[in-house]
Amino acid sequence: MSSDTSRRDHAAMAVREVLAGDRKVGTVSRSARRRRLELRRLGRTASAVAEDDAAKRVRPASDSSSDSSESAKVAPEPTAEVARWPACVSHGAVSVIGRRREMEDAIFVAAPFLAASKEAAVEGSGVAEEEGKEEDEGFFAVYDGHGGSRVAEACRERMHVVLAEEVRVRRLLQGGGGGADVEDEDRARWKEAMAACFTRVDGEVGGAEEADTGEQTVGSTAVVAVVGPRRIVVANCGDSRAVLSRGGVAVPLSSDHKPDRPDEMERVEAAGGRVINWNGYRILGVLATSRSIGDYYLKPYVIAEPEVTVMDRTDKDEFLILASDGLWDVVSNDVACKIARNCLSGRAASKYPESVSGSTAADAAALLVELAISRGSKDNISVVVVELRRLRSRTTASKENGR
Amino acid sequence: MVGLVGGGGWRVGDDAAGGGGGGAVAAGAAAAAEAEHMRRLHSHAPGEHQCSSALVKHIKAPVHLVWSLVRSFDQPQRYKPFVSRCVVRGGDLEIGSVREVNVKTGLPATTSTERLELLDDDEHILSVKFVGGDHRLRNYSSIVTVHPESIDGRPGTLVIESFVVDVPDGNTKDETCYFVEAVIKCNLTSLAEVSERLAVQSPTSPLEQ
Repeated sequence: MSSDTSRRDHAAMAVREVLAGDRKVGTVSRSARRRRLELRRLGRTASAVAEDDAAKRVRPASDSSSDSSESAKVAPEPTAEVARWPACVSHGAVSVIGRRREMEDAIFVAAPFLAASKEAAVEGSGVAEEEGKEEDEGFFAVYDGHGGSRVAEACRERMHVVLAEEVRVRRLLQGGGGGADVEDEDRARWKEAMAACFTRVDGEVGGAEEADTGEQTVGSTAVVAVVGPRRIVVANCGDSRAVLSRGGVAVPLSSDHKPDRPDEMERVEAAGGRVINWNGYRILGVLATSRSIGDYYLKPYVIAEPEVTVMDRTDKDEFLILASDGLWDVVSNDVACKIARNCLSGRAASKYPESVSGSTAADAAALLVELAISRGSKDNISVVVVELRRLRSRTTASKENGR
Repeated sequence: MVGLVGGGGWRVGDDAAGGGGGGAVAAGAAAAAEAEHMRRLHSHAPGEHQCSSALVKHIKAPVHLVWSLVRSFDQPQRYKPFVSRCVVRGGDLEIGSVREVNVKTGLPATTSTERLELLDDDEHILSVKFVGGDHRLRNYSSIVTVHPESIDGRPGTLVIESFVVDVPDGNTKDETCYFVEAVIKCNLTSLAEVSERLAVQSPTSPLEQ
């Protein structure tokens, strides 16, 4: 246990160094050399942590991490003149059980996500063009289950499928033409599609009349991001979170549904429920999130309705982080973005080659998970990183590929 | 479906019509029976910094089915939706037996250690005391009793669960009661569902009533 702890401390130091690396200018002072030596040792310990924690407990994060390097190579370079970006340059995800006895987090990544259900599309004029647009969209989601893993798993299986259906229905209804109204309509349609999707999946998980004991008390948070060439749509229900790094600044794209959020408390009380501080603010003193999929026993106080953010992309947008509260409980938005930025830019890997294995989105996700563990997170930890724009210079990238 | 909506029907006497369809006289009789059970079997003496309350539930299943679930001190997970696992120390079930209960995730506790105070198969009384765990319910003591009743002319069961507990620092009596009642309502709702499902699966002969 003590060696375990010290390894974690080392990992924490490595991350602190990565953080600090940003501010430090590369003069090789004696202390810097000492630090480098120290980090070299850390490199081994950090990889030992990676073997122990990652290999044993990291759930294979779909195929995204192996995908990501592939797609990174073929992804077209963004051009400054056109207000369209590749939906994402690369993506990576890490999900670990952490110090919990049960794994109840789930993640899902599909890029492109609408292409899979293409056969379902009605043939007709204008569809081909729409599909061209759809293919660029990526679906990324983190689900944090409680009271069991069943609902989080159902979300992982169903959310993207149901969303694809809801989006397709609305896309096909869309008339031709252009103008500002179309933009607004599009946003409204996305919000509708997300809301309809969450409602449908919520209905599916609680349905069975002959449900076993405990079926009523299982639930899951859901944070879903659809990343397109021009905009990012985030739908959130619960206390997982999506954060965008825009020009080095952390921009939250969701607001946690905590029972003590004034508008949430008002909503719960208006529905006849109460929020009680019982080891933190909880609905009826029981559940610490005010919205979720499932949790039928707490309806109508706990609802499945998502809050949806539609954010137009800018050329300053760097990456997106989606994570469960296993990360956010111990790492702030700013620190998470800073760590991921240092990693994706290649700065962390070139400075600390043995403690930071690379500069892919998967490396950034892994680094954030390590940080959360080292900071004492007691929960399952799931992190998805979506790289929107290449932060790494070509030279750094080619050096890395050649190593 | 099951939600803990609204106040009605849970408190003793609230549900005068719980027996169903019998009009004011029968309802009055049902309420009187509840009050009598309460007086006889559920009298707690809460201290200055304690709170106490009782909840009732009418279940459309015969007493023996409901009691078989309630009395299984070693398997509360048969109907309690928040219990993930339970182990009884020593093995034999007797007065003084202690169970280690693991609670599902997402709740303000992970474990609870509970002692069997009373198990009366004739009167259908179960009493349990919390003696440890990482929850905030100090000196929690509960009594569950089940009683036969007729619901729409069919064998039904009246369940009464009462408790007394310390009010923890940082909370009011009202909050403490509200929280415990919310948990008990979940348990009793689930007890009703499981019992009623069992009753449908194995209809009892009139002799067993």
